[in-house]
Amino acid sequence: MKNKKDLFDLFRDNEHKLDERPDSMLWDRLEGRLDQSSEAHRAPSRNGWKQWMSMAGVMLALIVVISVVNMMLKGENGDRQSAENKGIMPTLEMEEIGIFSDKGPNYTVGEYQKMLARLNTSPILEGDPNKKIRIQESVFASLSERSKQQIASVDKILRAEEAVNAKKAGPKEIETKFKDSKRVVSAEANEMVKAEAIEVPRYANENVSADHGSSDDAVYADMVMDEAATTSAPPPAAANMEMEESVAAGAMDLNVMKNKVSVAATEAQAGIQQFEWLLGKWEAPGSDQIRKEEARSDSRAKKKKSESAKMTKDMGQNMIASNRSVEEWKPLDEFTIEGQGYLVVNGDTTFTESMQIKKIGSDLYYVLALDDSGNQVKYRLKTYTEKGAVFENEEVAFPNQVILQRDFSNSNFTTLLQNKTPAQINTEQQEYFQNRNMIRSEQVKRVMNRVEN
Amino acid sequence: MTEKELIEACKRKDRKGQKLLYDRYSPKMFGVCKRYARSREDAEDVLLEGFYKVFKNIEQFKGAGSFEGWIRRIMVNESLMFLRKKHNFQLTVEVSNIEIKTEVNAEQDLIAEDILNMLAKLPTGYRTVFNLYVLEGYKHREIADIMGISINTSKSQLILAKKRMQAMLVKNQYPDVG
Repeated sequence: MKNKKDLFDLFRDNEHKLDERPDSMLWDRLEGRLDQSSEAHRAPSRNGWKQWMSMAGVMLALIVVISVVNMMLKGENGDRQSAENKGIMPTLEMEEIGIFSDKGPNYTVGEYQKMLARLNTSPILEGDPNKKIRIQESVFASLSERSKQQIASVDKILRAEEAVNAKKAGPKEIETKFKDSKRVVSAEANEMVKAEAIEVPRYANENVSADHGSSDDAVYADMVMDEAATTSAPPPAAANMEMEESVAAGAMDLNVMKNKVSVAATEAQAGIQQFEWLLGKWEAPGSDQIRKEEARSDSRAKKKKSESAKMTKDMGQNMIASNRSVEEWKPLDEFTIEGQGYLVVNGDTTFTESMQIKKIGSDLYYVLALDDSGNQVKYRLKTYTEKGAVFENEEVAFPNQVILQRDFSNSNFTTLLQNKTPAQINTEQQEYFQNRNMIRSEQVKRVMNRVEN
Repeated sequence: MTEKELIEACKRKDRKGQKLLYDRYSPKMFGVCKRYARSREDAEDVLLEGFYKVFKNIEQFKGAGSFEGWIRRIMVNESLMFLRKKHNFQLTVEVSNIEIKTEVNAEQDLIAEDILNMLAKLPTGYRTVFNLYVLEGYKHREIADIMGISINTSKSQLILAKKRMQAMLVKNQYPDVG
């Protein structure tokens, strides 16, 4: 009994030696938290007011957009109707695509289809692929300046391609050029979308192509001017650079218009290219830390024998481990970039996870697993800025947001998993996320530093 | 500023009062948190969360008992919540070795680093029971309730903690410890 008291007293007597003033930054963090909470408490009415104002703003913007679209539709329908009465007007659908011109050489429906597909724009669905088509001059004259520029750009693209073909350049080369220009274009187009005021050209609407399904060749009768005109205009003296520029210009117009429609109708848009900054190898600050091995031993060791053989060996013990968390992002295909995350403890990989950012339809998604089950969850891109991106999936209990934050120099980035309205993380998820993240009660966070581009 | 004035200031959400209270109690409470959490970073997180709760709930302190004791209980609770979330207490049982007797020299003195090192090296279950029993003064029955374990488990965890510490004392060049 005496012995027991002695040992315990030894600790009791010396406990005060652990007293220590915490880091001064801690008070700042606490103060920030207190400020945040008093803000939230203080002004529910102000928040309510803000919400109402923002909702009213959104409604107003929608009304304006719808009005503008209606006005444009009415105006163009009216013009077209009168033109049709005079017998000089082609079909509405053709102008909506806005691609055909009599300003340049004639191309086949098939060629236009190929071109439009390359530009990621609605293809022409009907007509004999070998039929030559062009738009009537009067129709061209009635188009807006933007449409004319767009048509001119596409003409340039087609001419340039023809010129390249004439020079017998390998198809692969062309493909590469178009692919490259397309990549540039998408980023630029998205920038334009951000920068410009929203307007909605009717011919940029993707639904137009669906309407074409009901058309037949007769619809084109007015426009098919010359079945035999096979002599194309001589290749312009455009250097490759010019060709790429024109490709870019044309594609940009088309993409901008498409994107504008999307932006008006949905929310943030971004191309997969906007996450190219993520590509490369990243590491969490590597330092020797005391690992709490017994905390995450049993279940994981059973599930992942190969990964955690060492952990199993050390189960129930403490050990000093040199650990580093690594994340490598690579392009998987045209629409996907993939990140592999892993935790290395004393040279052994003890944990792996896979993330993706992928384009599905017109939306971008961040895809990741939230626990050991391996089931992956998709988060749709909500907002994108130069500082990062917010992905959301409100159907997930936790986290319903995945936030990527990047620093200006692109030397590190932060991944935050949290809820829009703070919520507690459950124990199972904590165990999963603690492998490569710092865990607060309401947030999962990791900061990765760039090690390779 | 007296303790009572400090409490009143905190109840008014006076930021200066809150800072003073934090400055006064944070060193001791940081020591408490360090005993439970194994790393300094974790202890800081627990301390922050604990003080946040102190300020949010200070209205509930009616002045009946010791204010420092009230804060300390919050910190201990916060530490236990942290451990439960992070480790689910992960009790380590070495039943066959329980019957080992140990001796210690009461004159022996410990430095802070040794205390922390020894506590950090204890498995979470040992460490938690040891802290609650030896340094917070809880009974095994209370510890069993707090941790959701049986009274016997609490007792065995304490014995095992003591045995492990004894071994560490010997290893850490405390020659008088037998």
